[in-house]
Amino acid sequence: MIRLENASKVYKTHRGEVRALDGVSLEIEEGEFTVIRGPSGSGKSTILMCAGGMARPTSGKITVCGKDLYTMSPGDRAHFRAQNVGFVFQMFHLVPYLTALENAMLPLLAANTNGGRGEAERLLDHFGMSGRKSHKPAELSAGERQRVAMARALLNKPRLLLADEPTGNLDPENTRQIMDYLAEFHRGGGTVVVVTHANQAEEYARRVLVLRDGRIESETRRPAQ
Amino acid sequence: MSIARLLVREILHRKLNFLLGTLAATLAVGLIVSALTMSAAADLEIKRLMRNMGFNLVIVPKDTNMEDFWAKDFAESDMPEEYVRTLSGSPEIQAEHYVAILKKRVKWNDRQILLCGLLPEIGNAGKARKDAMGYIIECGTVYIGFEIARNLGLKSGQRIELLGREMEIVRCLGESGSKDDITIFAHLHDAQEILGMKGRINEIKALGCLCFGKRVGTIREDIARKLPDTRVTEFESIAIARAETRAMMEKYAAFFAPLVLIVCAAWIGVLALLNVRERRVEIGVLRAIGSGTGRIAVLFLGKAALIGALGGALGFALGTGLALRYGPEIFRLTAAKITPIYDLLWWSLAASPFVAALSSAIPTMIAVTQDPAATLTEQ
Repeated sequence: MIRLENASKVYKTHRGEVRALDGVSLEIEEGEFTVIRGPSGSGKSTILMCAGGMARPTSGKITVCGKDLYTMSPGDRAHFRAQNVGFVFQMFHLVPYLTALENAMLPLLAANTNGGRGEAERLLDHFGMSGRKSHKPAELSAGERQRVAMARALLNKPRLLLADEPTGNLDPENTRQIMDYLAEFHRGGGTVVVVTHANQAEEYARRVLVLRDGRIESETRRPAQ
Repeated sequence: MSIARLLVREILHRKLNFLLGTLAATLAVGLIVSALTMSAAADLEIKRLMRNMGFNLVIVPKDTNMEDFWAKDFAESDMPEEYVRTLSGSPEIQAEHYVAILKKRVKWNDRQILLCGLLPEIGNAGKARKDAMGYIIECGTVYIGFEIARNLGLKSGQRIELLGREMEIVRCLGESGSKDDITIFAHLHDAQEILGMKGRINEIKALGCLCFGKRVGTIREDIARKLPDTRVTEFESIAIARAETRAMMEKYAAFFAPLVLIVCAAWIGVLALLNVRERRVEIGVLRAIGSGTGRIAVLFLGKAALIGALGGALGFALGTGLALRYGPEIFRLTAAKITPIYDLLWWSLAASPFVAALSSAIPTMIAVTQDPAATLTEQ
């Protein structure tokens, strides 16, 4: 599903170069639930962005669903993301002037279609947001915002869900709920990669990777339950 | 979810940004529309004010001694009256307001006066001009100079005998401080009859071209080619002042309009830049869900075009309103020329969105080229 071959990513800052990824090679199979852990600045989020076609590696090759992402044109890569990849972020990143329902429907803009409202409503209902669809992000709790972000990520029925600290701003109850939703997506055949600090996430994962200084320091696999 | 819906929602959310942008476009269009609406009146007003400086061309018979001419204020030699029609019927000669004159010193009521016969002014198409610069005198009537009227106690409506011919005074002129104060003005044909010089004149006055660069040298050559037995003199200071004033006004307009446009376009550009900075995360999310750069560009350029269109319509109303309200106070002589120019509405609605979108081009480029990964991973 995801293959990184000797992938490196170097950011140039005014203080010099920062090597966020340092020759990482990794393969994640379709249907896997993978957790990536590591201290701040270890390159966790960078792996996610590179795998999602959002950040071109400085060197190396990244293949997702059999496609070499960075040989594609930006337009084709955007289309690929719209078809195959869902993102969930720690800060939710909802559009502040749209309602919960409109935020969930946002991927329809990229798909250039007016359909999908029913699916967005179904997802919000499923995530317990029935009575909150017309509320704007500022009127929602952190847990509710993340559920809207989940609905947005899943609207186009992606094959791959990339979650960057999805529970980083949530209380334990909401953390459990969000992890349950991710697990549910996984059970439906989806591939999940979660970057997190939360130990709780490891209960759901079959594979845990630990990153340090842009390299994979250790890897743990758990048998399927 | 459509781009139009997203556009409208964003505008309603960030009203101040939209209103300030619209204000900039409205002011730019308004100032330009008001200037253009008043331009016809302004042009005419300047022409009239300049014209009031008087004729700037004098054409006399070629053998005229100019020293005598300036001392006496008339030429001793004469030329055919047809010359004025020859000149006015020559479109290649850049002059207007031709007046045929026959002026002589005569003795009347024991005093030396000037008798000046004037033919009504004719334009360069050979037609009589309604907007005459000088006097239009009917046959059988006269205008009396200030000193003559005062010394002889003459009044309008009185009848006088002028060298054997009975005339009616229709106007006693005010003090001019020139030889006009000792002049009786009559119709050219009356003066010709009184002086026994039928069909003859001794001077043509005209208003030379107002275009800068088309100097008297050219006019002299043109007239000499047409009437070889005449001499042309120009009151150069008047001609230069006239030409330079017009050139200055044109330069001022050429400087002012682009300046307003640039300032307001920069204003819209800065607002668009602020808008892009404020929406970095939103742009990142749109990129993450698969929106291409084209769609994101449409979001920003579409908003700018909307600002431009609204500003164009409001600016037309504002500019026209300002011109109609304040124009007549500024251009008192030509106020009637100030009317709404509805063609400018269509120009405003076409040009303003284009300029606004152009001014947002750089912010839009920044929006579509910013690194979404960096924005979205900021915690």
